[in-house]
Amino acid sequence: MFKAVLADSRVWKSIIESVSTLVDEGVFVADPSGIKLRAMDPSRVAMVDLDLPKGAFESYECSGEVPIGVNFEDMKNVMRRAGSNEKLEIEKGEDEARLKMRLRGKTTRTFSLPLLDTGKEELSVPRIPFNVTVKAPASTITEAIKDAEVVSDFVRMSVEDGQMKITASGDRGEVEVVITKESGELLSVEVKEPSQALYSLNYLSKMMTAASLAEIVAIMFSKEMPLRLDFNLSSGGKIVYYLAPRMESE
Amino acid sequence: MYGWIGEILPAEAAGSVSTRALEVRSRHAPLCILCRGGRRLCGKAVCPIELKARALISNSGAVMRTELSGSSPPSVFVGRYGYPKVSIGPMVPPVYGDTSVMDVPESWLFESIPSIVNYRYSLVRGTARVEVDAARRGGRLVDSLQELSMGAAPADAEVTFAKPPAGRISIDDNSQPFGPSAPLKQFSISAVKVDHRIEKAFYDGDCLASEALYDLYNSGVEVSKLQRAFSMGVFGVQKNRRLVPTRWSITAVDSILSQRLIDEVKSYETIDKYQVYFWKHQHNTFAAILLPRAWSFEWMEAWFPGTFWNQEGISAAVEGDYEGYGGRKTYPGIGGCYFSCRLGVAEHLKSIRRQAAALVVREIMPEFPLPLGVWFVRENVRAMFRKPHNEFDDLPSALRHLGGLLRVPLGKWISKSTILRDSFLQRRMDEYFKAGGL
Repeated sequence: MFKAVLADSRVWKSIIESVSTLVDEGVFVADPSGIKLRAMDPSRVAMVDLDLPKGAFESYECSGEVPIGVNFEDMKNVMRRAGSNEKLEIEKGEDEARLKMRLRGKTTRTFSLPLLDTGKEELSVPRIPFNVTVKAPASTITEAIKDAEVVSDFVRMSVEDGQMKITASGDRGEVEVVITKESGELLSVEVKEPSQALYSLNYLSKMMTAASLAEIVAIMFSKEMPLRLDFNLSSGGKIVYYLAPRMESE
Repeated sequence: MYGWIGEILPAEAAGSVSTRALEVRSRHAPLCILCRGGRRLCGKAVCPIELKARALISNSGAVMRTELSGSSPPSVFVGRYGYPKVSIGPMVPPVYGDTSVMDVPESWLFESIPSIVNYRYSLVRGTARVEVDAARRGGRLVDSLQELSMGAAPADAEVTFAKPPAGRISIDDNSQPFGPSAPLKQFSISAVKVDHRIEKAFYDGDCLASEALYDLYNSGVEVSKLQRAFSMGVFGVQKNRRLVPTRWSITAVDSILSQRLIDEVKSYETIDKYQVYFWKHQHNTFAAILLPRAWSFEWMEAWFPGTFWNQEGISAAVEGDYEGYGGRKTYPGIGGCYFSCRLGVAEHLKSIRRQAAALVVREIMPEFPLPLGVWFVRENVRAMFRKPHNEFDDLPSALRHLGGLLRVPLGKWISKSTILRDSFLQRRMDEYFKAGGL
C-alpha cells in the first residue's frame, strides 16, 4: 500500500517533465522513507537520480518497498490536465496493476494509469572525483546554454581563477559566457584543480528543464569525467543528473 | 539549343515531332554542343538529355495530340506549385493493356535506366487547378481521380486536352525525368477495380491517416500505392482530408511508416555485434554499418565530380543528415531520400527484431546519368539488407572493412558522420560504474 499527497500538483508535473526529458519510462521505488527513481537515457550518455523524501509530501504512507513502473508520456498527459490550486494524490493499492492519480480542486478527478513491468536494471550511482564544484542561479546557466546552442552542439565548461567560463565553437561561430563572483552570479566556487571538459548541449539543455523546480544549480565536473548537476527542489527533495563527457576531437 | 537533338535522333523519331516543342537545358551547354550525345564529355555512361529526348520523342507521335486514350497504370499526379491551389490530373499512356509496371517503382530496381525513363515519358499528365480541400468536398474530377488512385489494376481512360501536350516541354540534364502535360478538358475512366483494403480506409472518416497507412502497409499494400492514394487525400479524419502534392506525399508516407516502425524497433534489444552491409547497383554503391547501440540514424551521400549535384567539384561532395534516439524536428537538408532510406533501415530492424544505430552511405559515380526519384534509394537500401552481412566485434574492424568497400576515404566519412564521431568521442555512463575503476 502506497499513498502520497502533494500540496501542489504542478510540482509533480515539473518533476515528471524533468525526468521524461531523458527517459520514456522508468520505475519509481517508494519505501517508507520516500520515493526514488534512477534511470539512464537509452543512449546511455546521461542519467537522472530523483530523491523525494517523505518530507516533500503533505502526507505520505508506504508499507514496504513498492515499485511503480510508468510510461512518462502517459503520466505527463494526465498532469497536463492539472489546474492551479489542485492537490495531487498518488495511490497504489496492494496487488493493484494500476496507479491512481487524483486531482483535488473544485472537483475531484481520478485517473488510473496502467503500470509497466518492473524488470529494469538496478543502477548504482557513479563515484566520480570532482575537481570543481560551482553554484549558480539555474536561470543563469539556462541562458548560457542557450547562448552556446546558437553556435554549436557541444559546450566547454571551465573553471579557473575563481570564474566560470562556458564556451562553444563550431561552423556557426564562437561564443564565450563568463560568470564571475563579482557580478553575483557565481554563488560559490570550490576548485581542487582548475578543470575544463566538453559536454553535449542537447543533453544539457534537457537537464535544465529542472530549473523550474530549483533556484540554484550546483555543477560538478573534472577533466574528461562526467558532469553532475544538482537541483535541490524548493518543494523538498533533489534531482541529480549525470552526463558523460565528450572527448576532444584532436 | 535543340538543333543537335534532331541530328542525334533516329530519322523516324525526329520527323514525327517538331523539335521546337522541346526546350533543352544543360548545365554544361558548351560541352553538349561539342558532344551531341556521342562523346560522353560530361563523364556519364549515357547522355541524360538524349535519354530523355529519345523516350519523349518515341512516345510523341501518339502523345502530342489533344485526344489521348489508354490504360492508366493507375496513376495520378498532384503538383506542388501554387499550393494550396494545386494542379491535379490523371497520368495516362497512349497504350492499352497491362500498363501497371509504369507506376510501380518497387518493380523497377532491375530495369534498365532507359526503360525507367521511358515509363516516365509515356505517361501524359492532364492538369486542372483545384483547392487542396477538394479532397473532402469531392466533385466530378476529384471523385474519379480518388477512385483511380485506389485502383488495383490498370483502368482505361479517355482524356481530352485543351491544347496538345507539347508547346514547352523542357528536358535538362540534371532533373528527374518528367513526362509531358497539358490542361485537362475532359476526362473519363471505365470502371476502376479498386483495392478493397484501401477503399475500406477511404470510407473510414474517423481513422487517422497514419493509422490507416500503417495498417495497410502491414497488410501488404505496396508503399507506392499508399503514396498515390495518400496524394489524393483518401485517408484520415474526414474533416482534415486534403490533396497532397505527389512529391510531399511520397516523403510523408516514407516518414510516417518508418516512424511507426522505429517506435516498435525501440522496444527491441540492440544487436550484439557491428554489422556491415554492402550493395552495388547501376553506378551506385550503398553500404551500411549497424552499431550495437540504441536507435539513431544517419544517411549520407557522396556525389562524385560530374554528378548532378556536384558538377564542378574536384573531389566527392559528402552530405548527410542525422537523428538521435528522440528523432528530429526539422526537415533534413539532404531531402526526401532521408526518409526513404530510413524506411528501408527500419523495415530491416523490425524484421530481425533488434535495434541499432544505423549509418547508411551512398556513393554516386559520375557514370550514373540522372536522378530517378527517391524510390531508387528505398529499393536499393531494401536490396542491400536482403544480402548477407559481415559481423565484427569492434568498431575499428568494422570500419576497416567498410573502408575497403568505398571509394571516398574512410577519414572523410568519419569526419562528416555524427554517428561515427559520436562513437569515438562521446563517452557513456557505463564506463564510470566499473568496479574499483575510480
